[in-house]
Amino acid sequence: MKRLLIGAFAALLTVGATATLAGQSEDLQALRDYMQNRFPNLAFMDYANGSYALDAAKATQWESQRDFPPFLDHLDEGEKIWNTPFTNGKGFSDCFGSDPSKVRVKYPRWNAEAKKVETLEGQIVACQKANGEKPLKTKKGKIAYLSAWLASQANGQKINVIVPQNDPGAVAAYEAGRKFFYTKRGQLNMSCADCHVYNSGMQARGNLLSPVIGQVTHFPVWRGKWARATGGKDGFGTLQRRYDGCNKQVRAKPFKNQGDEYSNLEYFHQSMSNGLTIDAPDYRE
Amino acid sequence: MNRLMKRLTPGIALVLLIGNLAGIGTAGASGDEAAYKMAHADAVAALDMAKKVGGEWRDARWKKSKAVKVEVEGKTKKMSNLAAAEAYAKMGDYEKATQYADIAKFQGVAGYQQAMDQKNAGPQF
Ligand code: HEC
Repeated sequence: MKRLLIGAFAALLTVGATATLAGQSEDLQALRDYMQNRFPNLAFMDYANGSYALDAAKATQWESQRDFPPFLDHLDEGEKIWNTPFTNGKGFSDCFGSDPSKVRVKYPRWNAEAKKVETLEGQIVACQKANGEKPLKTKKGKIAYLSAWLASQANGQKINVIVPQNDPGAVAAYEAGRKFFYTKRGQLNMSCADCHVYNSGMQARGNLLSPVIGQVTHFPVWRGKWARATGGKDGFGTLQRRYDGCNKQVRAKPFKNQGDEYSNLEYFHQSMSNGLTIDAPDYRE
Repeated sequence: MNRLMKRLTPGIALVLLIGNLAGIGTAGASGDEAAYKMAHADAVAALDMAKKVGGEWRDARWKKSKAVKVEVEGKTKKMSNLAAAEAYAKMGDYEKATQYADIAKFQGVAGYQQAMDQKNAGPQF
């Protein structure tokens, strides 16, 4: 009987441990401690370089690619889109404010009235709709040029996604995103964390898996893979486009772009890079 | 093979094995349209349940899935398991149609079960 009770108590403890809602700052600390243990020689700021921070040979290749950024014309187009007035005479600055360097760092954030997470791309589309414009598609193309240009204007500033702990809706959205990140899914039965936490730094089918910390500092990203699919013309994609790719890898059905699942995930995911410097856009394989 | 894949392979193999068994198990008995229709309805019901809990797998019925190759009017097309079931039914091959419907159903059941198992997912450190 005694042994049974101890067993039951231990079971309760473990259930408690996984179900406990740790809160954003505790999550961040635990994750940083875990990564610090895993990569004792990696400086915090270097997490922004993703898998290249962990592989000197690839980093050299990457540096030489960065000397000739393939996306400069696309950034110019992004700036043009920002400056082009809507047919009603208004423009993006009426939605986002007149200083483009202050836009990227506001997102993702909780909208207490609408009770949902707002992302930069989601708000670009919302701004267009509110002004009677045809909304852009949210994964790639023009929205990525605009978002990348806005991100480039914020270079040097730090990611700082704060979840208001006194707003239960915001906390619930963050918790949903956190749960998404740690949930195994798809035919391969793997979570984001299986690759980008527990196996970060290891090889998976010829790719070095990047740690979750630092994964968002350079988005929208220009990927060689995406560029090749368009004959080299356009390698840009948003963060949620990347989510699609990783879900497909584990053979899970991708979720709706800018839907609640991905936007909550983005809320959690971006906040795990708090304190890192925006350096966007950037090249990735 | 790297460490990650080594750790994962047994799990994947099991899932694939069960997937195949689910397909083969009922195949022989169902060369007829009525059996296919039942299998198809079961698959849709299972996938709807998985969808409700965010547990749908890529190749069950996603319209962009390229999992199954089917010869349609002399052309090879790639599609999901459920779409393959429907394509074979259209061609009158109810036996194959039922097989693929059963795989789609299995994937719906497994995706739902997986989501239930993951209810308390969180960090393991
Ligand atoms: C099967 C392993 C695997 C799983 C599971 C996985 N990814 Fe990835 N992910 C990769 C690989 C491989 C890359 C490319 C190499 C790299 O940068 O890590 C990548 C890249 C990324 C990147 C781009 C990193 C950069 O520096 O540009 C992001 C963001 C990302 N994954 C997020 C996620 C999220 C969110 C999930 C869960 C929905 C997830 N991944 C699940 C394998 C995985």
